[in-house]
Amino acid sequence: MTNNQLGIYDHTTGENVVREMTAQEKTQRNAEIEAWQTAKENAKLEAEQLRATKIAAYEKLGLTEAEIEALLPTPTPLVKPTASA
Amino acid sequence: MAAGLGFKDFVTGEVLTAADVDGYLMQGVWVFASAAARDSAVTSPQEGNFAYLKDTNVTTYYTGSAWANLDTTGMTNPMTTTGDTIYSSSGSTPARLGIGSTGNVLTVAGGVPTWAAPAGGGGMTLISRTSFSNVSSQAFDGVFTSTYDTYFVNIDEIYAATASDDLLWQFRYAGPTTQAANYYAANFGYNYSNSVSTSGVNNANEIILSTHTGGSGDPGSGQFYVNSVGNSSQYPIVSGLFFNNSALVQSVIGGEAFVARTYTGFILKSASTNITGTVSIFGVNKS
Repeated sequence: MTNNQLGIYDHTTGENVVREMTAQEKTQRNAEIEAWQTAKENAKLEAEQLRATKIAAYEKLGLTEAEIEALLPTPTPLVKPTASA
Repeated sequence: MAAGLGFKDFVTGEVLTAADVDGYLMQGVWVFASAAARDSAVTSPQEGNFAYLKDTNVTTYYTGSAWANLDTTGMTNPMTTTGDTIYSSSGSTPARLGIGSTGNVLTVAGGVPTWAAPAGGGGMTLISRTSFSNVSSQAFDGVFTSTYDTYFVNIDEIYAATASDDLLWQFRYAGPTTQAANYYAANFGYNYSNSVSTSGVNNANEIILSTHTGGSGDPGSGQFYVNSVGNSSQYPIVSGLFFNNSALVQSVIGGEAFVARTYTGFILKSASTNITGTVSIFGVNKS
């Protein structure tokens, strides 16, 4: 979640002001966050469903589990490699 | 003393005559009491002869037609202030060129060098560089005007409290109003493990610049051009690159707000947490 602080740089004054969001702005921001979370969850579900559909199709074609994995690798979280010393 | 005869390569067994000694070996820097003594002794000087005059402590050389002093005058330093430079004015007289103003460039006017403000033509002008810390969103208002047609927005660095949060962009207009709908955009990403990802924004509330904003230890960085803003009612476009340093993904992004307005700024935010960073905005000079 956010701290409801809004930074506004106004080039006409050259100042960057940080202020508390108005009630309307908070409502708008919360709605955006909720919409983003919903969209993320939906996208994840769609991807999972698409993957399941593809796997089912490959199975109907008689491919082995290993062959399906080769064609459709299981998604793994992207992990940044550790920098060498 | 004989004048110089020139250069001679002596060979083995050759007899060294008095003339040889005077004409060749004595051709170093001769020392005389005065110019009169020199002229009396060297009645037929050759070009390149040198003579030191003890009375005036001056080294002279023969040009082929006359004796001239060697570096007797030097140069009086005309500089007075830090940053001054010297140039040759009329008659090769050293002249001081005072330090110019910040941002000046060296140019030529009236046949001599001078400092002047750089002329327009290419390049970019810094409009603002703003740092922000731990805010829910950061707006940049009044940065797009009719002064420029194209703007360059450099996200020097940015990170979110949650590194994996999307980094979002929305246009602003009429000062404090955010355009919060009708965005269309495309994002192509390529990561360090050779995986490609794409994401489209179809009539959404914002443009996704990156699917990771980055963390405090590995903030992201982006370079974007913005067009069709500030001058008249147009569909604003932002396109460019963002490097997601937390997941090592290079993204190519382009998008627009499909609502024509005279847009004057933009706002950055992460999908659900606070952001910290520095953003520099430049105007691309028209000519």
